[in-house]
Amino acid sequence: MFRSSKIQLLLMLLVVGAMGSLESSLHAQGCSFRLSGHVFDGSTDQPLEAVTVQWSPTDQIVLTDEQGYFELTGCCRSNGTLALSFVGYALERCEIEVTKDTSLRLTLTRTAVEIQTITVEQLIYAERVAADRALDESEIVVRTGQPLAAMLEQLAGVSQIQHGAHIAKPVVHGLYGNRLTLINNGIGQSGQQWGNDHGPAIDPLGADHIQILEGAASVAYPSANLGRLVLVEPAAIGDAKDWLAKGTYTLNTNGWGHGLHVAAQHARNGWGWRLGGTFQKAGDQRAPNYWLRNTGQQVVSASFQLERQWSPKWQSTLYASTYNAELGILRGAHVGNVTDLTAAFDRAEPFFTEPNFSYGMEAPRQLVHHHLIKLETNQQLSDQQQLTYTLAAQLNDRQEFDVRRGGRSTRPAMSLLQFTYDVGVRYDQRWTKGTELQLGTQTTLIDNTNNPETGILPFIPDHLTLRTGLFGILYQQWGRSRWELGLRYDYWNQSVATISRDLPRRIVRYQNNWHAGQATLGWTQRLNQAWRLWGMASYSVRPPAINEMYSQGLHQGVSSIEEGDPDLKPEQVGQGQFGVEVKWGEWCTLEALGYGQWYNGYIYLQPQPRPKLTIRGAFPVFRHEQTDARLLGTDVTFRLEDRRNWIYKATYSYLRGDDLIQDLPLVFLPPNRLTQELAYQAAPNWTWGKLDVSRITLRLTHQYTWRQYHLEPEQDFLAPPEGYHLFGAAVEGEGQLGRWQWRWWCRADNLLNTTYRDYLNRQRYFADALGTQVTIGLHVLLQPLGEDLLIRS
Amino acid sequence: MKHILIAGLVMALLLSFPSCQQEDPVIPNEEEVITKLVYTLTPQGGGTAVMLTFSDPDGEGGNAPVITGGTLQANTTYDGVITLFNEQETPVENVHEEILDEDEEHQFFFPNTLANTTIAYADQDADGNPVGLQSTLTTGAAETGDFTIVLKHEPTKGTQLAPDNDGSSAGGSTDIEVTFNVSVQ
Repeated sequence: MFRSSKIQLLLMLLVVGAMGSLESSLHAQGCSFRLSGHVFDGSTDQPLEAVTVQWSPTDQIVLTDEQGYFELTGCCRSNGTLALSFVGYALERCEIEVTKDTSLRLTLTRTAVEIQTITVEQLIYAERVAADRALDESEIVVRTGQPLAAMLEQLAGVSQIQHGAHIAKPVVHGLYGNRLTLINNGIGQSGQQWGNDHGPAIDPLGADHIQILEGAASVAYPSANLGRLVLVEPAAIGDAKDWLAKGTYTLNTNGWGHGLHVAAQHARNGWGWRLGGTFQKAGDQRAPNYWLRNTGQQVVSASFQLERQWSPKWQSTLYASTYNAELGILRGAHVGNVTDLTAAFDRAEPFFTEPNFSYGMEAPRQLVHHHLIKLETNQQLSDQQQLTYTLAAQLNDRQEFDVRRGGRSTRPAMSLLQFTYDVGVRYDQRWTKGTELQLGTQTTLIDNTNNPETGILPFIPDHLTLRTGLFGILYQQWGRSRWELGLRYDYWNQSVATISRDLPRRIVRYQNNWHAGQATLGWTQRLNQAWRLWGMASYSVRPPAINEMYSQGLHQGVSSIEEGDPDLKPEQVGQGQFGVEVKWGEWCTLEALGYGQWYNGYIYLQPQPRPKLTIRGAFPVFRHEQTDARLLGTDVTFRLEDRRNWIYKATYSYLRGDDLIQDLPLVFLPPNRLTQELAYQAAPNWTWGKLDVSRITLRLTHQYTWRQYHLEPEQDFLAPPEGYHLFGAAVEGEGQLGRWQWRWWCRADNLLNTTYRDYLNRQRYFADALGTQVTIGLHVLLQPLGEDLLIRS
Repeated sequence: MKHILIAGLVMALLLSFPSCQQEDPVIPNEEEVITKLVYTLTPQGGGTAVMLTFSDPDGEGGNAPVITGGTLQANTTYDGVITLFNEQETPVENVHEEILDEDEEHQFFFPNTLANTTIAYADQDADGNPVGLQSTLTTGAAETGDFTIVLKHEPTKGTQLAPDNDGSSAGGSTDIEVTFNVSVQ
């Protein structure tokens, strides 16, 4: 018994630690994973033929072939037991968590008739052609109350653009906004992604898995992506028997923010459902020396998922979610013109700072609603072929309120309604021995309209965009190397109706037709147990976004006039990446990657020589222009563990962007950063009555963010802020109380109450970033005790 | 093979979506803009009034505004009145009435480079703080310079900043900042 539990643990660690990323391309719903492996005789190292392999959740049984190879397809994302039996031997079981396509090397050793061991020596297949950057549910849960981008910032190469603490959008390898697509549940998140002060309207707590996807797999998703995507995926209910309920509550002392997430699910007789909801409320936050007035938030979101296995071949999933947020913006950040902005720079504390805490929210603020409904049906044509049909609709309603005259502060200054409809079909074909093909098509219709209630000429125009795309991806395994090729073509048809800026006001129409696409080639080679190399090359064409062509008006936050250029051409990007992953024994891992992006026609905001004179004074004008640009970066992650208690992890990210024509740095790119974490884990197995404490973790974190040195003084209103150190500490516990599995944590961010400003936070012009934040949280999971439902830890 | 055919047909269908056109947007009624500012200076002893005018009929963006300065008599005291209009509304909206309704939230400032000229507030809000819709301007010896009119929305009132201050230390956001060339003869 002792032996088998130890083996289980080892196996779990290996599988979890080496999660592949191919899955993401495959199925957001997570019921089409492949679990495969080779079974060898431990003493002779010969493949074992005709070993019976049984996978518990589906009771699927397969036999190994003459190479000892087996493959189980259509596995759902779940925990399960893999049972191996060989003629004349006792049954051997091991617990496996499937969250991705998983490939194992299993060794059966006969040391005595009744003691038979199964070990996973290594993953012989290189499962991914990229670095592994993902957050699982346990990492998401402890960040309850934070926006998606703040959660993702823990991953190497990811930063966030903020507008205060609650409005944040992710930046991956310098890509954000129009250049980085978010995929929520397999559907491209619609909304006003162009705005630096527009966070994605996604509740990350509804997700089970959040991942940065790179490489060929990214061509399976519509939208102008440059080979990198953020995938937000809920878990499949799948074969989880009976029911499950969970709840999380967090309290953040900075802003007295409360976060509550509850979810319940049930599955029986081919039906499965899950209902979840999140409520978050926070008031004014505090910089080390003053309150940040009007920086609260309130978020109410809910999701419902219904699954139906109609027959062994047909399966459908209906998913609906709603996200509703009210987000406050620092009152002192609302300025009228450049004189006000300059006055704000010189302040020790922002204008309108109040001496007391408040939950109140007033203008400037944002009100965002996002609703999604999606129906997906899988048709299993055979064990190796599958068709997936997808229908989805989204509604994004964004209202932004400014401080206005004449009691108009309660009327939005910007009010946009966007409907998005998606239709898609995808075909998957797998051949044994590692060849896979995916073909698909998607059509997306986006209808964006301004609500005239604002009494202000719209910043971006009404438009109707129809986009149809075709893609194909081929994966090929040759021995220890894996190749992937992705091709995508999109045709855009766009009808735009702008309003003239001169009198008389009239409607000026534009009709755009674009050809866009992407070609990606990826390769990875596992040299031996220790070394893995990978490389990627891609070429993409991104049509200019609606704001880049037609935005027109005053950007309140930074007192500047932004102008689009209707004559912009699509942006062409060539990219390359090379990475290496080395494992020295099981205690030391190094992962390093270097990447480059070369742009022809990089679209950016160029300051114009002549300011524009208005009744509010002269405003600097920024116009969308094109240049040739280059981004070069590297991410290095180092991990050291003693396999018992201690884990040390360090991540360093470097990025440099240059405008090659003007010979100037590119603005608004993340400064370089070093993050370190030291964790001590103990398994005390304390017991008080019915309460068991199975694990305690202590963490110390340190982060150093360099000043953004690569910038000329004339490129910004204010010089980039100095570099800063941030320290953090956390204690986390796990245990069991009867049928309740529980986790609790207490975490302090910015432990030393350091005063700092971050280059990518637009609020830096006006105020310091947050001081110490202490978060306490409790997570409970209630489920029937059974071997097929083990807590994910 | 049959399935590939079906998939191909579906793709062909999706590709053949007709192109479509966005409907005409509703042109919003721009009721908050200020298209015209007139600072009327009437000599206290009687005489011809001088008008400093800023005019930008299409609002922010579009064509550049037209700014007309003026010539004042030396050693003269003028009663100054600011009037603001939104000519995009029909009938033309008197924005200064809106400012008067919300005078506790507004204050004008008159920073200038006219060394011999002084300016004083001639009105008050309900709290006894200056507003600046009405002012008194007294010229001295002949000179020329820039005369700026600034309107602050939600400044910290009651700090009794001098009327020729630029108002930036009072906070709030700037609704108006217009500079005229003025000569005193």
